[in-house]
Amino acid sequence: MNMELFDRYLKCVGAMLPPAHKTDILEELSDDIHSQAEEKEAQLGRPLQLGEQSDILRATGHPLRVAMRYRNIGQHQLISPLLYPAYIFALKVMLLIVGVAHVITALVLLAGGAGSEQVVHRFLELPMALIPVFAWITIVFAAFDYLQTKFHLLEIWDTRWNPMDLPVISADRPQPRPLNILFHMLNGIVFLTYLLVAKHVPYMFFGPAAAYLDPGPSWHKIYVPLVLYVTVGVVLQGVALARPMWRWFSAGSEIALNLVGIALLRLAIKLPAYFVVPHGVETIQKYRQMADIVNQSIYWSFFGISIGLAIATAIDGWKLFMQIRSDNRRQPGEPVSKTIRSF
Amino acid sequence: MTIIDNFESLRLELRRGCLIVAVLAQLRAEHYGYTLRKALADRGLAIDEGTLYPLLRRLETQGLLQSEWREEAKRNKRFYRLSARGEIILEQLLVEWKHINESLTSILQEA
Repeated sequence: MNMELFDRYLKCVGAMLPPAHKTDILEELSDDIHSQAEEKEAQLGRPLQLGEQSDILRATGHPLRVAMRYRNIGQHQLISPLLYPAYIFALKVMLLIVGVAHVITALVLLAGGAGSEQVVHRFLELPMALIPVFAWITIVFAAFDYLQTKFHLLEIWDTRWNPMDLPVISADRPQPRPLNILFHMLNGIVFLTYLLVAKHVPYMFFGPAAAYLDPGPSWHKIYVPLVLYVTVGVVLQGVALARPMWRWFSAGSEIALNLVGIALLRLAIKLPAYFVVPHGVETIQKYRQMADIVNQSIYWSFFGISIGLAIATAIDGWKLFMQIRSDNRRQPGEPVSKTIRSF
Repeated sequence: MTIIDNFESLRLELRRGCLIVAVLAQLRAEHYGYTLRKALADRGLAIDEGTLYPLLRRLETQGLLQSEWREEAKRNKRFYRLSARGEIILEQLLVEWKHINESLTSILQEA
């Protein structure tokens, strides 16, 4: 019996299992699946065909659903184990952004001639600023989790999936893990929500300093392309998640997205001030200094991000090239995995 | 929530507790996952592997089961059996289950 389909299935489940128990769980699950196959073979008196192997896997369940059951057994919580890693990541990123924004505004206050008391006060406000961020992220994730439970999204997924679509195992190059993709997609959604809301609530950008800063024409020029860029990124991650058999899609789309990101950043770097001093206070020197510091910070952030993106694109491009080349060299049907321990 | 959803949710809740008792009772004799599943299914209590294996792990973590890996039919299999603590708990659960069963029967007869 050629068991490659089972290996592919177990690899997918393994990618989402808690690392500490992965080998143990996979070995047990593998034994169960193989026992079912052997029993079926004994009944039929012949090796199972691919379609029959596929039926066993379909009855076992979607890899994501099977793995989920091992991650946090039988507990009821606001954020399910499926979304929890993405939730924690989003929290860390957003709390970091708010923390950095506080440091910038403290610097801005300092540059504007504010006393040390005001700066210290600004830092003391940090916990109060973090609480709403924490609350909003939790609400967004809880709502998403509620909707996926309410509309049985996982069940729909579970009934529609086809084991034949599972990615082919490649011993020397790991496939993108579904949880990682989901994780990036949810972060994209959180960032997109932030962008859309912050446009109408400038406080979300600069806290109290927002009263002294207005988005300038440059900001309006890059806002729509930025929103579109993040939206396309979310859609592409969704496609990569729904179509794991498109082997090069995830890596390819990420490289393409990075290239577009670099082009956008190049455009943004060339633009003049992103934020300006509002009418009525533009003559006050300290507010102009404040706007200068903010614009300089954004300029250098864009510069740093574009360098990071360029390096990431070069590395990802090289990896993709090596993978495609290595794939073309592999003979069709060549075994790629022997034991579940290699997962 | 539709009637089907409602029923399904309550059915799962009802089944969850019963499955634990059934698994513990079945593991008075040693089994590995697949034979345990077969044994339960043969007695009309089918349980999918995605439910059974996490349940076995949880019961083992609670000290109600003990397991060991052994090779059988050229494959490594994990054999489970009821631990001493599991036996005590099972006896208590069976007493409780009989009590609930009698009460429920009595209530249903009245109705």
